[in-house]
Amino acid sequence: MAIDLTVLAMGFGSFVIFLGMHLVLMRCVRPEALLKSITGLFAVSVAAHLAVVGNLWAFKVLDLTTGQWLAALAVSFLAYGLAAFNYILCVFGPYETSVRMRLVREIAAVPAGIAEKDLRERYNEGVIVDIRLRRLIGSGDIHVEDGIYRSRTAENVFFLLDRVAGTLKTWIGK
Amino acid sequence: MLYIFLALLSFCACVGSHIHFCRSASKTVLHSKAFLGLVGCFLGIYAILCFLVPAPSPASVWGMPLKLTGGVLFVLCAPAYLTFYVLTQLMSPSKKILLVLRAQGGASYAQLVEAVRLEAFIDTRLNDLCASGCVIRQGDVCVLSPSGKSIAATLAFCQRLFGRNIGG
Repeated sequence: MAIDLTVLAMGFGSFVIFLGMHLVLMRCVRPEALLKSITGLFAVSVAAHLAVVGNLWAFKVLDLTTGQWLAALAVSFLAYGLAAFNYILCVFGPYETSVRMRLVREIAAVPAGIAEKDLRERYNEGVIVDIRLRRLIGSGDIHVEDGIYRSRTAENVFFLLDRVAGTLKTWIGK
Repeated sequence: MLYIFLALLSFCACVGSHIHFCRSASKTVLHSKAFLGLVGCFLGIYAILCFLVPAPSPASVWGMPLKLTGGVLFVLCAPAYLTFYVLTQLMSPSKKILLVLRAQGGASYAQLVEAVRLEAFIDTRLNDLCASGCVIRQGDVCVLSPSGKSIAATLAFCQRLFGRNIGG
């Protein structure tokens, strides 16, 4: 049980470090720097994770062989990675980018209710594109030249996620 | 590591069962609740396996007693899979913009706005919110239902927590 709890504590400890730094950093990060800052945060947390596990190993907190320490590192890293992935895609992502969430907030801003025409004046396709362009230019995925937007890279995180979803779609048979 | 292997094997079986279910069910709606039911079933199977399968020597890597960690990894894998599953039916505005730029080699601001307009992101999302009961249409006016107000309150809390302006 001690090994079990220690491995979980290592994984979730790193996630707490990631979450803490994320909550502090997000207060000052501009939308255009969002994607890069999350990648940077993840890298820093991985380094923190390695440092924590390395220290536990060095101080022989648990009586494990070298192979078992490496296995514990891999499993705790998997737990940390999954927790961070779920947090970014299921909690922070929807808050920051979801059209549905934005609509709920726009409607909530007028407690008596808002006419669809007024809603579309406040939030429309132009606003959606503006927000995305700022973010995608900041992350280096696209660039603008003489008023024409172009992809800077053939691959990015959106296409990567899309490829996995596309494989799943093929299996489901849609 | 035996228990990690059993947990991941149980999760793969859970995903396989869900894919099998989706192949025979309606293709126009998401079957997320069915997946959550399957997660409950297969987590139970994993718990039974933990009791039935004897632990190998704890001195080896294979025999590390990680029953609880296996269960936690199983639970953490569920939302990760659901993320990809939802993406099989969902087009995001960012992805749409990148797809347009990749297909056309480049596009002006007006072309991007038009591409996003054609995808009808606002209409479809507003209809989803009405269908799920978060938003009520009273003629031309949209108001939040009690569940919609709860979501709005959660979002307001998130805004205080993250200290960020409204997204979208």
